Amino acid sequence: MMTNRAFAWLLMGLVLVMSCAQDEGIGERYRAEQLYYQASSQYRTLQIDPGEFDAERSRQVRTAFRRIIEEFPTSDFHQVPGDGADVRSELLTITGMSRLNMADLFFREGRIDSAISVYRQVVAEYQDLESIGLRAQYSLALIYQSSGRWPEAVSAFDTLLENYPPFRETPQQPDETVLNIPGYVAAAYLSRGDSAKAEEYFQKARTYLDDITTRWPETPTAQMAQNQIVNTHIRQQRWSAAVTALERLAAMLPIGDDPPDALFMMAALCSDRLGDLDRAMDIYEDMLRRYPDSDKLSQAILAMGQLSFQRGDLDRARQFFSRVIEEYPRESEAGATAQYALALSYEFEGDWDKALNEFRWVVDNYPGSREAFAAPNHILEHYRQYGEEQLAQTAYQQALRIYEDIVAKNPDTPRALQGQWHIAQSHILMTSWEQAAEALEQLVQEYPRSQQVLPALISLGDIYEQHLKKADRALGVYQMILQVAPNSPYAEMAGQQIDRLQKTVP
Amino acid sequence: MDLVARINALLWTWIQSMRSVKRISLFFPFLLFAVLQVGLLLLLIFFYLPPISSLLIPLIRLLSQESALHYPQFYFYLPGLFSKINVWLNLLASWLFVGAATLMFAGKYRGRPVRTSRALGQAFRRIIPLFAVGMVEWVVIRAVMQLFGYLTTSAGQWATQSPRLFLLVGFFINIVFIVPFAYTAAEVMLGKRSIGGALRGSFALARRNYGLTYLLFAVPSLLTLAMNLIFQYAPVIVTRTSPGVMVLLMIINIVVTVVVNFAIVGSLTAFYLRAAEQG
Repeated sequence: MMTNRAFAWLLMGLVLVMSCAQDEGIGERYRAEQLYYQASSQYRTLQIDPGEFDAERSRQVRTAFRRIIEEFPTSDFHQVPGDGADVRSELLTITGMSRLNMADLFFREGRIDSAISVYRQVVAEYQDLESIGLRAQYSLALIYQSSGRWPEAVSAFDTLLENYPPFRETPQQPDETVLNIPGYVAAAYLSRGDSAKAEEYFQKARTYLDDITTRWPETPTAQMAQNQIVNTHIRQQRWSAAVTALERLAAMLPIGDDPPDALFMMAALCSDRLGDLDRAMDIYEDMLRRYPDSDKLSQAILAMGQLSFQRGDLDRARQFFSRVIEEYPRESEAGATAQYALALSYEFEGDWDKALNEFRWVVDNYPGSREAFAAPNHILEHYRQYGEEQLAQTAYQQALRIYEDIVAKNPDTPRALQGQWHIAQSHILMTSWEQAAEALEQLVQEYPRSQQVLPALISLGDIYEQHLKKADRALGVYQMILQVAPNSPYAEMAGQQIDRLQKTVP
Repeated sequence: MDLVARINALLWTWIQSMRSVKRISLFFPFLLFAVLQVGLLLLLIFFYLPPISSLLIPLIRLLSQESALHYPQFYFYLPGLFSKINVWLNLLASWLFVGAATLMFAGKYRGRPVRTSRALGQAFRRIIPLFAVGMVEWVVIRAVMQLFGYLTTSAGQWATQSPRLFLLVGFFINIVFIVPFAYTAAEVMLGKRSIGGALRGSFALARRNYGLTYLLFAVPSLLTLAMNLIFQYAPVIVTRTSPGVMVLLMIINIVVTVVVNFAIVGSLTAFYLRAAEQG
């Protein structure tokens, strides 16, 4: 009796909850998410392994995305805000993403017109969902560009800049894609060799970006826009204007514990591009005053040392280098560079004994650093330059011992790769061409996917051709470069070498 | 009983329980409860379909988080959701199946097998005392676990920082408070005792044989503990495999629970009968 009553209460409770509750489209959203998850999993497999890409599989994935669009027609969700508006917006995002993925698949299949048609449809239908509309408009512009329809691409980029703000929801969340576009279009004109149009579009870009810095001052969007202004000047190699823009950018950034990168860039442009060492030095000194506790000061002091070196003030340079080593022991990258520069300063002065000591210090105290790899061969090169063959022979043996030790202790690591590369360089310095070729062959064989392979192959081809007089082997090596990386600058070099070899060798 | 006698009794009850495995019909009450659990699992998995969506969406929101209403995040929360609703299913229905199983085990041990339908019928006739003692146990355990949760969170953040340790400690503490109620179903079904009598009888028997009863619960339950530990990695499992794997694991868990309950009820009934025979 008591139990029956309890069940009756429970049942009534359930009925009450069911009648009060509203689904608000959550069930539909969940179903759409489920379908999208399944379609995206298939799509990811295609993306991860491009070798697996074929039209049939792409069609299957497109069908999976199309099912979502058909089951959840867009027209059903474009409604006035109210109950479930957020859920409807999420559903729209899912269908929008499905359409974008379908367009991308059309593009990969080479069906450019179908892709363009889908993107246009998305732009038209998703005006009230900025994130989707913007992505479609951007993809549309890129697809025009990649299919050689440059004027339409420019027009699509312009439409994007007119219709979409340079930030996501508020100016606190800048949209890097949008802010990058004006400079990107101008730079594209530059690379197409149309300098007049490039100049016009760089000006347009700066006007657009400048307007943003004025309309939303003191926001991350304004800072990013200013950064893009700097980039436009750098792309045009207008160094002085770039420095001025950087100065404005540095003033816009909030004051933190570390000096902003803009200041470092400003100083670097002053010294490297404008040759204004004094101003560069002033910028670094200002950093030391304003950010006395920053770890990034090691970079500033190192740069001050390098500036003093450039000026020929070696004593002052050494003071800066020593400060980096002593005051920032945890900044090992800066420490290694400072130690190496210290050695170079003694070598430059002609005090080889002190220089040698400092080079050895780099090897012992900064193992694994770029400088520690460079030092043994630098010592060898020094002796070769000064014709001290016996000392060179000793340095050669020592360098080989160091590099071989690194290779043996760190198999299949980037360190071993560097070690192998430097072994080849040691042989080259000693004009031991057979061994150098052997070392480079070994590098190519053991690290076929590393970035070092292409320079190694170029070097190998040169050794076979110029020093070992094995033109056929050289030809084989150059042809290998064409096979491995047909679109790289190395392939261009290899192509030229092949042409030359084929003309000279009967 | 000295230690050797206790160990003998423990081994004897386990042997009795294990011998019963051959009689498939003894699994029926537990399998019936498992069918209910699978039904609950299916309801949860298809929560988004009308008309159940209008009931289950608010329920999921209440028991979990808004993100549990998204796919595939729903599967991260599924073990927790299932466990929260299963607690209520246990309260409302498990006593009936445990009562029937106790009767069937006793019949097997006495050499007078009882059919499932008859056992369920008899359990249903003892519905009020079975439900009442089950309710008392449920309330005590819930209260202890709430208190444990409160004390651990007040004592520091370790419960959230070391969820596995929290689960492990909670598991052993839980059994400490279950043990006194271990023989209530046997007292109601076999001893024909009233609510108060069943509670008193169970407490007395458990007090005299606390360590043994604790082990009768804890050892088989280690299997469910292992499953619960696996469920703590639900987000990783779903992300690295697929949501379907989580459903498979939950069904495995239900099967594991059948085996664990079989072992516990079988051994407790055997020990209860032995204690009754020895006076």
